Amino acid sequence: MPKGYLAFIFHAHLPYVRHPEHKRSLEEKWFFEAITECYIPLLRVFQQLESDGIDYAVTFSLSPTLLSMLEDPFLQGRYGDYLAMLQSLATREEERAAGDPDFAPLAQMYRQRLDHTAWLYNEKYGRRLVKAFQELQQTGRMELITSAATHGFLPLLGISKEALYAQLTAGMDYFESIFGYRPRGIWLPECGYDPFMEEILSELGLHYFVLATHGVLYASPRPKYGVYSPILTTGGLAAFGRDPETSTQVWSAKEGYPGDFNYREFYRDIGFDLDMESVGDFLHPKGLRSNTGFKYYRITGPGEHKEPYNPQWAAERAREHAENFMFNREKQVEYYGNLMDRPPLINAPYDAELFGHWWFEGPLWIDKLCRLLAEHPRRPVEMVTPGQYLEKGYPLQESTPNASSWGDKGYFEVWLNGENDWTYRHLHRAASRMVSLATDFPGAKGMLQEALTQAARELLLAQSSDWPFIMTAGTMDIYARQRIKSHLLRFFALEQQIRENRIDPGWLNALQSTDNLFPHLDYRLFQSHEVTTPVESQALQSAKTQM
Amino acid sequence: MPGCFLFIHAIIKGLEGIIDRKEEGESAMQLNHKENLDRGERLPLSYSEDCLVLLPRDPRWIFAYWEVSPLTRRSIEQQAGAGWDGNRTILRVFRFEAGQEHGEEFFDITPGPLAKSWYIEVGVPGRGYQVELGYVMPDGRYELILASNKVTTPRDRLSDILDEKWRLPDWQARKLYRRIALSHLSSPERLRQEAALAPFYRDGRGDKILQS
Repeated sequence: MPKGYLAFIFHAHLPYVRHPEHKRSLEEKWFFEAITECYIPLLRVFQQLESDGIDYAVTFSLSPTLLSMLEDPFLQGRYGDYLAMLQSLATREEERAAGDPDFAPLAQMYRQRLDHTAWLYNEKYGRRLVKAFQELQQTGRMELITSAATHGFLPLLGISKEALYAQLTAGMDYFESIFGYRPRGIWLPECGYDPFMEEILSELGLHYFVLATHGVLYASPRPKYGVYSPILTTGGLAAFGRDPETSTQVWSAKEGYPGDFNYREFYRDIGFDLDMESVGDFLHPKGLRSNTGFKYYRITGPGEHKEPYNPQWAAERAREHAENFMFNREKQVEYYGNLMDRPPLINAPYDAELFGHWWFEGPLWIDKLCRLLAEHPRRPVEMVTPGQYLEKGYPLQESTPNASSWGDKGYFEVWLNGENDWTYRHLHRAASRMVSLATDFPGAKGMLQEALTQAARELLLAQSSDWPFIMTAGTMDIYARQRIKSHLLRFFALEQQIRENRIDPGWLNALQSTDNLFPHLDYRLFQSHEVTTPVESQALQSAKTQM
Repeated sequence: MPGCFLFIHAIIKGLEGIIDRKEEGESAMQLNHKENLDRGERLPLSYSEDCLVLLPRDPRWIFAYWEVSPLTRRSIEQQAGAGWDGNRTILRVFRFEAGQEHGEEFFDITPGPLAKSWYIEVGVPGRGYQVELGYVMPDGRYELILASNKVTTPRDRLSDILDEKWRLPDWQARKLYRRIALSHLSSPERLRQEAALAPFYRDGRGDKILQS
């Protein structure tokens, strides 16, 4: 038996950003960059571990909005174009850098990476990256879970039980429609939790969720083993608390790994450094500068002076950092193991988008770490997924987690402050109107059903935690305000048309093709729980699929 | 400064493009839609419905927003025998001690005629709170208009309750008992089960087992 377990969880999420009305949008570029620099590099790490026969275990939480974008043919096409553009830039960069001892190998590296990415994306997976996740899931070494439908911040939406239920169920339904099974775990958006959510969580057949450290540490009764064993909540789910050491070790401002001087410098990108002639056609038609992903320098030091990037040195550092991480986990499980009647579990959840994009060497570090752990002669620390850990059958301590989130200050303030508190009045009102609609029109057919379904989509989109988050961060907040306002206005107009029995088919159609996620969404998920219990609505669901 | 950036980054987690201040770009929504799908420009200032909603923000603060419908206002005006005076509205905060059904009156806030929401510093983590919106009648009497939902502030420290109860999750306990039920039945049941299996053992050893 190992001395301890390590659960790596990557939460991959982006809000639903799809703008066919514009030739280029910065928001879609977030998505494209995340695919190129995070999701594909991470997938390649685990594919390589598979083909090298390395034993590992990892969990990916794929948010329903991210899955929707990955499955959307329009965005698939656009990403294909974006990738082709990057490839042609790569070819030009190779020519430009030719003969330069420092930069030529780097230009070649980027060209090769992009060629492989394009092959993987276009040829191997026919533009459906979810297939890559599915392949890895089927090996049993990657556990896939999902999140609430549009990543709504549940503690502040749950004033309506129905809204809470619909966010969770619509997300799980969509996941199941892609992967063919119900996820065992759920990523509560932003790790946002309040004990009142147990009532709904217990109805969904879920086995676990993940919380911030103090979500479990401050649970009551006091958890005997802190965050090093999950606790069993009143709803009968296991709550896994985040290990604080692994998060600070990677992300600490002072000694965190990504700031190493040999790692790639994020802020020296040819999108800003080169003249417009060299990169202009890659950038926005209006000549607005942005990142291209072609970066030739290493962090070097705290000053402005930067030296060329050396991939070998960076790889060496990644290996050292992986060794350091493993050494610290070994010490950690030894320490806690002496205080516990079972091997401690170190739960290490991260945002997937930080690996590869900002921390270029992040995926390489994960690769090295998995290999070191698997090849360790004593294997003191074994990787597990939360699902695998629960299968080991340790009795869990009954305890109610503390209301919390993993946002700044640890509670709800990021999503509830002077910048965004005005939204809840409208979001709650819209949710209660949606519950009335779903309850008043239980068996709608035809256009009425379509309008009700679209109203549900608009409400869900308005509920994304990303909009209040962006308003707090203060950049791009105009976009966030506009998004939340647009979806609410669309919702209220639909509601009125439904109530007045004068649905505008042309407009409805336009909405359906713009805000087009969750094709099989059932608006009845919002039916009042006074009238129908969640279990009954699940039965409704299965009755519908059998029809 | 990478270190500084890292710190901010770790806090705001993930949405890289958003905090990427160096990046220029055109946000889709900063442009005018050729075809604006929104019906209307502004969200309603009010919904003409009564509401008083309470949300917890952190261990020490809660947030309330409210709306008093014209109908309710009129009924208050009738009782008061005078026009609505926003200065007479009061937020009355109640606190619930652990295990208590009824909250005790905690303090009052006078939000003023223009306020529609309020951050309330309640100061004590891990307690239940409820708020009333009331009106001070000209004769000084307090008239309740709306009562909020109840919220509980999060704890900010370890729980003092140390009771330990351990068990398997239900789905796992079910698996355990299913297996026990299959292979460790008490004697009469075990015999019945074997008798049921008898047809499969007719040739050869099966008969012997049943005979013995």
